[in-house]
Amino acid sequence: MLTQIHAALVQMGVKPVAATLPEDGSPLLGTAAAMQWSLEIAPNLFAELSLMRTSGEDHLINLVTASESAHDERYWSDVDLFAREMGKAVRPVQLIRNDAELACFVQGRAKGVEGLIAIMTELLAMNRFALITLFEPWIDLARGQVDLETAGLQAGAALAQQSAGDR
Amino acid sequence: MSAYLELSARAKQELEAAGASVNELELEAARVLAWVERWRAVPLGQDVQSDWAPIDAIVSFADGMQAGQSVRMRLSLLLADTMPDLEGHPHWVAFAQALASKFPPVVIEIEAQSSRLSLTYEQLLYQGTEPQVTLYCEKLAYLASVVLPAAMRIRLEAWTLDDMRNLAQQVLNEALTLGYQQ
Repeated sequence: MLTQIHAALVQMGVKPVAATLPEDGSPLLGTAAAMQWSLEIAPNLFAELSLMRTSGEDHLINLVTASESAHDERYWSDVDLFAREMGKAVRPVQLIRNDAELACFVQGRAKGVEGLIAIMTELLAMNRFALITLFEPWIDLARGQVDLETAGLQAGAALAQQSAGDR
Repeated sequence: MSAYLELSARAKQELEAAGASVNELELEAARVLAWVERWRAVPLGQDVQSDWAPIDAIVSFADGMQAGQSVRMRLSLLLADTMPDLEGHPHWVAFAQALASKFPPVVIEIEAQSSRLSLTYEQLLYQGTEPQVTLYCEKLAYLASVVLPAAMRIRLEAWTLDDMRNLAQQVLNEALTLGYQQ
């Protein structure tokens, strides 16, 4: 199954750069085993994809792209507001700030290899959409390079552009 | 289940010291428990709204993926009476943010329309994969047992920002022990 997933990732244009198998006994709920890949989803843009078997005999997939950009606490209020309001446009992908780390997170669940690959494709597409539209202005906001209004305008323009491209 | 919903002796002590009504909080916790128990008997795939005011629970399944191979499941738990004073409260925002960041994909927020406290679990499911709603309910109920007393204390201005962050970390540690974190 892992070989098939690896091949599917390559076919999607994603470059799996590392894979690890964490030791058993992880605190993850109902997890008998977990697999993690580091993916290069665009040049120099990396994400972590983890795959866990659950007690329900299906699999849980997490996809996270993160950046340590929010070191200045003065901007956290605006950064959180942006995540809360603009983040609604990319759900079920979530924009999550954990101290200085800004992350794009999405999760899915599937049974069987076919289901896993199908949902992985969707998760990657959603993650890419969020990255293209919101992640960059969010990071700029966290670095103090733009104010909240400008970040919102940039994100709005990117969302409109991507939506127009979809039609 | 009840172990996750009962307030600890320490929490009761702290709440009483802060002037909160412990009875009221326990009643709230009991309602969450009753709701979770009821869920066990509900067939999956239905939209359900509970009768246990002031707690409402809504599960929805929405299409919307272009490929049409997945469904989006959203489980929302609306808690307590309206809390408009919490919206934008810096301690509340910090607490909700810290806790939610440790329990993705749960979103903790004040619901825009009703000003009620809301916990939402949203996930993409491949069609044919049976959602383990009970599992999600348990996680939300566990978080509710923490979020509700915390919200009350924030309203009473009883906790500092650091207290909020410390609590979020404590919850994470406890959840890891219990196996309640993703």
